[in-house]
Amino acid sequence: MEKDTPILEGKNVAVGYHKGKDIHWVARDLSFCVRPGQLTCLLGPNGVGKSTLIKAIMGQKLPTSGTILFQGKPLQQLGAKEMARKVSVVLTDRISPGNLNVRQLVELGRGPFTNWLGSLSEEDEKVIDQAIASTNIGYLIDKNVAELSDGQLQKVMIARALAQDGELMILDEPTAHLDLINRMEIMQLLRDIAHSRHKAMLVVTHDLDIAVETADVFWLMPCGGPLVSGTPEDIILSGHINQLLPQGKFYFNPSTGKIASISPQDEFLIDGPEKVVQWLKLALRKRGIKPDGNIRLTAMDDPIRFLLEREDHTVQVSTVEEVLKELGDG
Amino acid sequence: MSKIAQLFIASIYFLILGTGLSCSPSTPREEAQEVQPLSLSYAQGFKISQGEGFKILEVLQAYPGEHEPFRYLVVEEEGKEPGLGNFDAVITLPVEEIVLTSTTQVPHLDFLGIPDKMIGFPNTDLISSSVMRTRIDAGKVKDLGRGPVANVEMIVDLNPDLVIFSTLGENIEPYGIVRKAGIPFILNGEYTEQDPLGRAEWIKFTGALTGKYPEAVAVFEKIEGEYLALKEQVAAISQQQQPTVISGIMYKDIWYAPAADNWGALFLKDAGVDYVFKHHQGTGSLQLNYEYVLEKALEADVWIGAADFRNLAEMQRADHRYANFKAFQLGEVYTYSHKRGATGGFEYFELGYMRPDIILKDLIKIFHPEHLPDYEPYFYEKLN
Amino acid sequence: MGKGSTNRARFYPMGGLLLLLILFLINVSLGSIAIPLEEIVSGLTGGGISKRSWEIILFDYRIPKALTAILAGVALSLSGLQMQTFFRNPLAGPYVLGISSGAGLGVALLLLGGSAFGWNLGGGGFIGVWGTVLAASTGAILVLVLMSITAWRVKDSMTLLIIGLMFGSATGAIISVLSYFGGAEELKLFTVWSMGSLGGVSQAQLGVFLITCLLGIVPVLIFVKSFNAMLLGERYAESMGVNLYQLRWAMILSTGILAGSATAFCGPIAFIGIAVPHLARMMFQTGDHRVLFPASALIGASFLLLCDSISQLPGTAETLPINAITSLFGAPLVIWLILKRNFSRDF
Repeated sequence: MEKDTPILEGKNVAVGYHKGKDIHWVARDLSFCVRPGQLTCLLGPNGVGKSTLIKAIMGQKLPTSGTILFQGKPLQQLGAKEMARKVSVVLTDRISPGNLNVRQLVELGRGPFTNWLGSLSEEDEKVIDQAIASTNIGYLIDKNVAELSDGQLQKVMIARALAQDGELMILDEPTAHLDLINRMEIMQLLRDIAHSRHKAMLVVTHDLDIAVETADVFWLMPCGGPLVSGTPEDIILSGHINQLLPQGKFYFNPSTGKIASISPQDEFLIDGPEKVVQWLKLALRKRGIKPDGNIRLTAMDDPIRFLLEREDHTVQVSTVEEVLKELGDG
Repeated sequence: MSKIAQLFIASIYFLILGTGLSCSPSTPREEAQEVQPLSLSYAQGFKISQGEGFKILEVLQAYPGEHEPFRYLVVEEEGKEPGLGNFDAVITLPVEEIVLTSTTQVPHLDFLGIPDKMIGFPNTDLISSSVMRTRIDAGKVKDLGRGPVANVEMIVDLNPDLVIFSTLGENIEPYGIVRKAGIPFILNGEYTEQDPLGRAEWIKFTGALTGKYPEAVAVFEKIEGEYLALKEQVAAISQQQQPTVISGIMYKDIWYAPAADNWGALFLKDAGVDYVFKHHQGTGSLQLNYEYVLEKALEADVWIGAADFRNLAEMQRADHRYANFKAFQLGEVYTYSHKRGATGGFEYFELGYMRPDIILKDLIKIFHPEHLPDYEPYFYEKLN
Repeated sequence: MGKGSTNRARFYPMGGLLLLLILFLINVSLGSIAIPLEEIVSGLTGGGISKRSWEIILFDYRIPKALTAILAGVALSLSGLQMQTFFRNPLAGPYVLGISSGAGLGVALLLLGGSAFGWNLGGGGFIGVWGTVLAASTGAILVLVLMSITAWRVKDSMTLLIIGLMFGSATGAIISVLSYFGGAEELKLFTVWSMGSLGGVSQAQLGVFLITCLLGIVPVLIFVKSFNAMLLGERYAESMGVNLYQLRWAMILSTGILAGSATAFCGPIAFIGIAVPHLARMMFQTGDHRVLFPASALIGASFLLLCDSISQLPGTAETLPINAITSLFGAPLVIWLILKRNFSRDF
């Protein structure tokens, strides 16, 4: 298969669910594609229909219109067993894994390939070993799953999905309950797997910063609009990224790469290196401290210090906190 | 929950508890007038005393367990009520309409010549007596229902002169209304009497209640005479010559049989046989393990009392282990289902209480046929 | 089985079978009547027994009873394990789908309905045991069919569980009404039936029981891998190719046949279905159903044999009902095991 042929392709897809006899359409105008070797992040506000779209892609029986093609074949034509060999998932479901150790849990991923008894062949063992290696959980394999930390468990679940060795892996908010370190680690891991193992990764996430940092493709599902896809950089530069944010209040600042509030503020004019000045400005803005003509601020780095020049005297301090105190706040 | 609600609920609880304690019989006060106790030869469960124009009946054992005696006054002549304090019921003769609740008292009425006085009975299908069945079919006896408690409203509506009631002691409460309506409500404890003649002697109790006491005595003495004569006949048989007898049937793997002092088992003693469970004291029913019974009774000669199986094949279908017993293999299995009423009731459980002489005769015929060459059993039949 | 499983899982099958054999021997050696061990061994090895009554007791009573105990133990524990895994609920047992209530209703109608509805069962007042078996089976099958229809229409497994429990309540209510109108004798019989009994099963019935057990085990074998997948929950199982509807049907069928036949022949036997799978999990320290199914079967059979030996009250003339013993000894045992190990970790 060529490197560029999409694994998954959607054209004018609409998804919904049954409500009694009617169909309630949740989202429309969804056109997308997933390519192998890429990490694709699906972003959008809660309730916009991300889960419904994912369920449809997973092959669950939902009302859909438009076409969804999996490796060129319509999704409906794929049976459950076939799907299981091509798509694996990591969900937000809590599991109570009853006395399994880590290796046994990863082994479950080979289910679609083993015989009725679940016996593992040499090939199966190899795939499992690879999955464990890729996720760096080798040191955990004999541990009882109930004893794992959240971050460790998540890696184990990824290993299991990896052992299932499908072309497409779908992850629903894999970093939801994790601490910062784990969140970075997991997304980095997913990226590495996508690239080194040539898998297609589709990740639903709210972690904008980390997604920007790690994703190859963004899918944006805004409220009441079509799905927008492209590289994260294009989406930022074109301003589409702002569709994720509450309109009129916040925006994504392309220079700083951060979400900033829109409210016009009189800003201090501060001399100095941008990387220091912007943080001082942020602090002042947050405190609502307006410039008054009597004070001149200068920032310096190496080491970091701030000068407050008043008419009659000049003060030098070394932290933002002290500046704020000088200006009569905090 | 608010305090008032709690108080309300608490008082409900106490009310309910209180009513449970209500049905205790009254205590006797000093008897000013002369009463003569009438002699009873065998019955332990009741006492009769004769006064001037009245009788006093005391039921000492109406149901298992301890209780204060129930006292009943039967006023035989007008105006002869003694001021003798509290009674649980006062019956004024003549009594024309009676409600019974146990089939065992139906023969009492038959033999006292007053079957036409019964106007109501719960679950009339149980009655076997042909005389009574005729009356039932003619619609002269009201069916008072099948449940564990007869329909009290219907009883009150019928307004009989007398209600005779048998109970295990747990369901007397609902009948409080009957008593409130002024209907004499009499507890009959005949079934607690284990001695065969003692149980039959209760006909005197019914006789006293219905003004037929002398007739009752006459009937009883005849039965007593027969019984004792039969007992005499087999008294001389030595233990070695006595056949060994097993009784009862199995359900799942538990064997149910009468204990040695049970009414059914006492007959066996008087009939000159060796009951395999005679060492198991008690008046109730035994529940024994199959292994134990097999060990003890494998070689028993005769099997008496196999519930209501109709034939040996049916028994074997019910439990193949019956076939291991020698008595079964020899076909010496007898049970009391020979006489049944038109609607399926067993006469054994109706007439049998009052006619222990017939039962004994049946048993002697079975165990020692040479003593009664021309007799055919009435209640018992051999299963084939 | 792969590198992940524990070594114990390989050693214990042989040990377990040996234990079962020993318990079997103990069970047939003990009873109300003391039969010397040499006689027992002689009888079992074909050497004959001196006393006729002993011969009957051993071959016609104790051995069938022991075999019944083994089959019932296997049937109930396998049903219970399936229920617990499928519903992801540690309190589930073979009776949560209402099977024992259905069986009880059938038997109640047979025994108590006579008085309530006025039908005369025409002699043979003590109903033949095949009658009870058929009545119980009919009741169980009826409930099973109702549950199957419900399962077909209800997507959510938790709903299914609750509906099963409601069926149980409803049939219990009907049984109460029947009990109210039943005669004293019949009520006693019904009560005795509901206390469970292993000793009332004839050889012919034992043969049928064996066949039903084998039939009920077949779905378990076919779907054993799916049960492991179910450990992660329904959604993950589906993503690995498990057909949930199929699995549900298989489970209802298997449990219906296994628990239904056990209840039909032995009456409802408490505790085994719920507790033995937990015992198996704790003793074998695994969640792998390829180990848990045979382990539960072995433990269930062993436990029931042991309980039966105790219920015989060896040396006395009385016997205790089997339900009393399974609950009396089983409950403290499970409490002890729970306290010893961390329960939530093991489930």
